[in-house]
Amino acid sequence: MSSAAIAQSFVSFGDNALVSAYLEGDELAFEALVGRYQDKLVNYINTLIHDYDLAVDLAQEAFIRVYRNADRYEGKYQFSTWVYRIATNLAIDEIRRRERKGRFFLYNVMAVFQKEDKEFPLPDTRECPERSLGRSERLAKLQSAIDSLPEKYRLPFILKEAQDLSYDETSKVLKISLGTVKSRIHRAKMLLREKLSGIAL
Amino acid sequence: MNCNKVEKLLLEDASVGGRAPIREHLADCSPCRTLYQQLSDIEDLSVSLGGGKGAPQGFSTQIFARTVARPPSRHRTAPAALALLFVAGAANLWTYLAGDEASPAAEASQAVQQEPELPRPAGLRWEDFQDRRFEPRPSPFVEVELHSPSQGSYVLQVPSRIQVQRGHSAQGADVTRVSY
Repeated sequence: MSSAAIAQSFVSFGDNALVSAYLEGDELAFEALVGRYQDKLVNYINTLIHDYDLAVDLAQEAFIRVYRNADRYEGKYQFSTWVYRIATNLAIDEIRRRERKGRFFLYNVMAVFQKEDKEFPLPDTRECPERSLGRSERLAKLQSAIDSLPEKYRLPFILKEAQDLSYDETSKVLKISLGTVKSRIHRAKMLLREKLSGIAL
Repeated sequence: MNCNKVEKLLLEDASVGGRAPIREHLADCSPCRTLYQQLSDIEDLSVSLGGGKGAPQGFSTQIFARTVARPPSRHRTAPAALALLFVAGAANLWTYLAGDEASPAAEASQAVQQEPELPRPAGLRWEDFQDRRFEPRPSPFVEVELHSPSQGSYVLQVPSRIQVQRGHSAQGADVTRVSY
């Protein structure tokens, strides 16, 4: 039975109930948790590091940490908060490792060029020819703009808008106050608006 | 409702633009309408960023496999590579200083070359395990990460296996050859 099928059979169980069942020895409950969050985590990490294979590897590492430390899980937070926090820390470690080694994302290099372009804006009031951009191209431009955001704005924005976490959950994942999360996401949106001002999404 | 209030609400969640009081303001205010359109586009597209290929087939099986046995990470091989370099360097130095055939350097160099003796179950020959599928594929290089507070970090690729050979030149001088 696949993880997705197992997750489906446990659909009426809450995350905390599955963690409890796993702690009592039910490995299928753990697999159901994996099935419930595996796609979200892989996509989330991939959005941050742009390396699918490594994103899969890090998502598995996140679940391994859950597997080994489930007894330390405190039910006062949602399970999703916990697993997203682990995944975020792993992704940040990877980003820092790349920065230490002087390796940059291609996206970031492109973002630098975009910044340079912005210093010499050409006024053009004609209807933007990119109005008819395909969805994938628009997504790529948005992704590039998001990648050029400072990390403190990028992470809460992705968690809230791309992963559909609430403001409250985002603040718990990142361990920052609710007010700070809100102001950072607002700032991220304003920056994105500026970066994409010449591009019709 | 004034523009500042509308902007604050739209930045929190652009979908509020559909609510009556805000919709009325947007109908009469071009800048706020533009802001609403841009933020709606950003939020709609961002939802798609959360999608993607998802996890591959066998994802959970691999997790269980990894919880049972974890291969050594690159970071764990770095000290081993440094140890190899140290042994090779020590062997060299000793050879130049002593030049004795029976020196510890010769033993050290042999140790570098010698394959590790692996335990095997009684009654079976080592040849029984020479199934190619289970042979490890040693990497010819390992990465060693060097940190310097002033110069940043560097990653060196060093040979994972180093051979030290001692001998004599045609003129009779001691010669040590390091190869990998």
